[in-house]
Amino acid sequence: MTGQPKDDELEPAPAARSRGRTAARSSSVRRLVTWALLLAAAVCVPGLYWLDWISIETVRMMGRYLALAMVALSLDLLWGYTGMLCLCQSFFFSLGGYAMGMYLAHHGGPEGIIDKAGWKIPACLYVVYPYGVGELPEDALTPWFWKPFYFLSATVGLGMLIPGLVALVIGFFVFRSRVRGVFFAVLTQAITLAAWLVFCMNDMKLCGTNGLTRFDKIGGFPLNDDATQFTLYLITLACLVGVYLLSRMVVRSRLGRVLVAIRDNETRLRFAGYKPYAFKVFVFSLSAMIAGLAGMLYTPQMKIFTPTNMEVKESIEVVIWVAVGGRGTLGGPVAGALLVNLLKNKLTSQFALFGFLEGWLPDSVYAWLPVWKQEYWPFVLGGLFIVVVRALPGGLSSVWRRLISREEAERQ
Amino acid sequence: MEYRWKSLVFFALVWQGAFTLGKAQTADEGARDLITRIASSDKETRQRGLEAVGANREGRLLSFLEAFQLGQIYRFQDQVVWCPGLQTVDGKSMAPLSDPLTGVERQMDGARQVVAKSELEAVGPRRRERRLIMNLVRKLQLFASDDDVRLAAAVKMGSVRKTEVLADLELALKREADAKIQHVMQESRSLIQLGAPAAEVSDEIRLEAARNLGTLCSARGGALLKELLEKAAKAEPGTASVLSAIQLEVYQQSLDAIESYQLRVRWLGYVFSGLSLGSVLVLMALGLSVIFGQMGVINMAHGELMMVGAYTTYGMQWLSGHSLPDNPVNVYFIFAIPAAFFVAGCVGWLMEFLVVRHLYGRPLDTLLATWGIGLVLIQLARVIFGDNVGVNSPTWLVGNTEPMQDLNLPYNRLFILGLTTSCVLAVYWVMNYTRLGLLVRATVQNRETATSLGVNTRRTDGFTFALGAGLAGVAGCALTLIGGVTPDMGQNYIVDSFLVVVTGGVGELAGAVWAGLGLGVINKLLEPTFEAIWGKVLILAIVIIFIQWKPAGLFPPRGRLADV
Amino acid sequence: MNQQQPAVISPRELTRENRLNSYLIYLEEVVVEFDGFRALDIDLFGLKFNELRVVIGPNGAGKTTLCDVISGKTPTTRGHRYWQGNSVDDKSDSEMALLGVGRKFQTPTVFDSLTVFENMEMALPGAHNVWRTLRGRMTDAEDRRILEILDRVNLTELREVPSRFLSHGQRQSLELCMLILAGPDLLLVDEPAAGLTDDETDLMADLLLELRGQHAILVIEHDMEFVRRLNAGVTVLHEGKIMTEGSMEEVQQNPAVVEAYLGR
Repeated sequence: MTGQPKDDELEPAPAARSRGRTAARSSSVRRLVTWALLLAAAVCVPGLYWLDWISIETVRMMGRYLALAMVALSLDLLWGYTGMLCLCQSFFFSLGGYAMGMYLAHHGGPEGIIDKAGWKIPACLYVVYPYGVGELPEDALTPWFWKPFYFLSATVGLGMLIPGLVALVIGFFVFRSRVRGVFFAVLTQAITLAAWLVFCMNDMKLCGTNGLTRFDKIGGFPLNDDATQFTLYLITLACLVGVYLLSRMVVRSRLGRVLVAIRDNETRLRFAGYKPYAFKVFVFSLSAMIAGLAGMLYTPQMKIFTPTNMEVKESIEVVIWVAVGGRGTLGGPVAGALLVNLLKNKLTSQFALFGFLEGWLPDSVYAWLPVWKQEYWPFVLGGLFIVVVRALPGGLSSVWRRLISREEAERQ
Repeated sequence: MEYRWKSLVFFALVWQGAFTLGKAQTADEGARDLITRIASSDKETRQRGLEAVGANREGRLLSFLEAFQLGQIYRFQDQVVWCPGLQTVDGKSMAPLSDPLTGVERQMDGARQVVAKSELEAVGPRRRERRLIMNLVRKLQLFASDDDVRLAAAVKMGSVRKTEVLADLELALKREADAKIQHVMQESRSLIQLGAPAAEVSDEIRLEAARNLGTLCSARGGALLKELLEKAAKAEPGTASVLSAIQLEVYQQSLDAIESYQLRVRWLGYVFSGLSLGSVLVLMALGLSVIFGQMGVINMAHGELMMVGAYTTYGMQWLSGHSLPDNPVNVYFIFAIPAAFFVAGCVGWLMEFLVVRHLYGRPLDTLLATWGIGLVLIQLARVIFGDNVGVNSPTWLVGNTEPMQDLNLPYNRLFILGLTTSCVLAVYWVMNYTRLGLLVRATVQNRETATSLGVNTRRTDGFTFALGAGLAGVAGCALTLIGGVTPDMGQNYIVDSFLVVVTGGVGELAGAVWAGLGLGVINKLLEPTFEAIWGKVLILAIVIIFIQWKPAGLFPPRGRLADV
Repeated sequence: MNQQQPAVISPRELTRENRLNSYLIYLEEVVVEFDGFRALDIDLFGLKFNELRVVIGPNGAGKTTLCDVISGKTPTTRGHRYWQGNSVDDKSDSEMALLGVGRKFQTPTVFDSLTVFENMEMALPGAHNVWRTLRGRMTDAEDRRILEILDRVNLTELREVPSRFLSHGQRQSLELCMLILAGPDLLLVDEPAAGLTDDETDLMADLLLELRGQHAILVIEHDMEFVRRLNAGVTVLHEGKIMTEGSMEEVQQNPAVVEAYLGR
């Protein structure tokens, strides 16, 4: 009914602490792995950075990937647990990203472009300001919706509130009409596309396709400073841990079991006296807020935010992170997001596939060896989709789980 | 055998050529005499020749005069010849010769006659004559033998609005046989009269012209009337722009008549372009809907199957050697439609065989896997063909028809409408009157029972998927008529066609048809008022509100099977 | 166990006022049509508090549609539904469930990914809103109650097993357990004995008889032996209409019923 694989590749249910049950032994091992992963992010990356083995650029990149891992977590709540494949995630992510981007744009760029009302017009907006007929450069005004984002506290609040509210409205209409399964996926895809088109319009005074740029300072600290970037990494990591704990609390509560019940059989749940509609709206909004938070953390580490982040294909990439890592688990999507993005980082650059043979082989032979090109990446991504969905619906965490259970069987 | 054919054709050509030549010679003597006079070196003779051309409205001399103006007319051995362009052979300037009246190439010893430039004596117009000839050319265009030239000249006169051409326009109108050109000439005449200052044209004639424009429902007339009325409203009393009460009334009446007609035409145009967009959507959604109805899966690679169809059309064009736009080999398109169906169908069948059937009962996973396939197909096309290839529409689909004045319906759009209609009928027939359709319907109703009755549901699934994919291929073939072929062309239509499926309901052909046409028309009706993007957003909102009211689409499944 | 054969009081014998007050669920002139096909056409139908009633009828008689109408799944084309004397025409399925209608489907439906115990947890009575479920903790009493019920149908051992690994009979039992735990005023039980082994059928019948007197129960059944064991009032549906109501003996002696159903 909800399109979930019915075999036991999937996580049966959130491991719950409850009386009347024995603690699942493997789950503790699995939890260890997740924590090990987070610990590695918390210890290894800073450690290596302090040892000067990796540059601040790498730390920044890892920080961005941690933010993306948050998006993966937010989708997992919807798709892995509730069975709703949502293609709106890049939209919610971008709402947060735009919020933070507007804050950064307010405090960035060249000084001296002051409008009649005394507001400094953000440089990236000034460049592509959509003048009406007869308007002159001095008529440019900072739009009203830019103004709240001058303040960091308001930005942080709105960056989560706006996606949450948008999701609430969308959810209200979409779930009320009991749109489910593929229809939900298709509708959310259409919503993302429409939002992307709107944000690309220059008349919206959101800088059109150029996006938000010319960032300079965050909270008074220069963005180009290594220390600022490093702090941002640590904040992102802390937020990820927080989101992880929050998600864990949600899926382990009775609410988590209601979500899984929605995935399994929504109709039956209605006859048990639940209103699946309210639960879906709740988890949809929650997930949108998490995605918004991720967007806010991503922007200062990317130093630019453009509408391309909102495209439908970005949403679908989030799906592959979750699928690779293992839907219906919390550690899986985090690991999946990091893995796929590191892979993407490597495979969207050109390099010699057999570079290690250089010098060992005669140059004439070496020149014949294949070279990896950037344009091959879509094949890998497409292939990943097909392979994971066909051969490994539980993602990497199901492989891990099987390994553990085999070990345990051998031990006994 | 081949030789006989060739000689036969040759004889036919020679005979026909001799016949036309003979006939032309007798009829054209007067014109040739005029040419000789214009090309003479005597100033008086030339002057009289030109005057005679003007008086007789000798339309056949148009091309000669144009060439004369350009200095391409020479005298060669007492004959007037036309040399359209010089060639350089072995450092010497050589001139190929043509007949000045007909433009036919002159032959000499079985080949084109080419003489050295030095043997020719140039005869160009004097500076004083240039102006005269220019006006003459403009006038003669109204009497040219080519319909298009006459039409263009008539249109131009209405735009330039010179009162001195009125007499010629009247005369041309009397001689004109073509209804459309007559219409334009009348329109131009009235435009000139209406726009002329009071000193040159009397008030009665101007009033008549305004009424006339109203009856003709002329768009240009409407613009002029509006301009005059606006000028009159702003004009100081006593100036020329002020209009009398009766003028104001008649002008306004005509303007209203014109505007109401133009509005009607515009709305008809919107509806037509909406239907045309809708028919593309229907073609796309038809395949999606067939697949969805059978297997409950959404094929995200549907747009890419369409792209496969478009590239197949390109391939057929390439195979037929149709490489340049001005080399119209039209047959390829006839073969391209079934080829696109077949190739896209094969790709679809492969997809079903390799991936989709292994994901049975997991519609969301199928959605993702097909998206992955789509990604691979896009990139494959990009690597193989590059970013943009051109498909040339067959010549019989270029141009448009005008069933009503000012309502232009392009042939290619009409063709797509027809193609969609036949595809819908074909699918209806397959589903309701063939054994395959019976199997498909049985499988849709109850898969287990169908299996137990010996229906090979796997094979039925494969067929259905291939059928849906083939329909996407046909859609791709049709789209080459109205747009470029790019690897990601499918993305432009896919979301809209998803919305069609959502709105239309599951597995109902009628749903896809009505929802597709409806969304297409609504889209085009919204576009002029709102910007295209807001139109799209509005459409999405309409769809979402619509499914509040009818959650299962236009044609929901009923009864106990309905689980909404 | 061997109670006096209950007399089925036909709604016709009561005034309308009386009907509204004495029936738990009461249907009045209810018609359900699908595309012009009249699936259900019931003049008057009522079920008293704590009454056990069996609905029989040939295939397509409208038995499941009757359940759908009572539980709010299928909207009526015409007619009215009353719950404890109040109109519930506009109540949805989950609202009816909250009012106290529990339903067991023809094919057992449980939440496949959840364990047996978690399935039971879903059925715990109480407020089912977002906040409560997020903060909800299980009390010892609830815990004991769940185990007690599971024990009755021998599912205690399997309480940690995801329910998709259960057999058909175990799923039937689990679904009934969930209904019992929810403690609705009205239990709609659709073909509980279908596909069960003899032992499981006996267990099911015993369970239903135990529940008699605690809830009103509407059982739809084909298995005549099973119906006889329940020893309850019988309503015969035929082509969407109520053909007759009465005890099993009365019904069996009705020639029209024999013609329509038993005779075949």
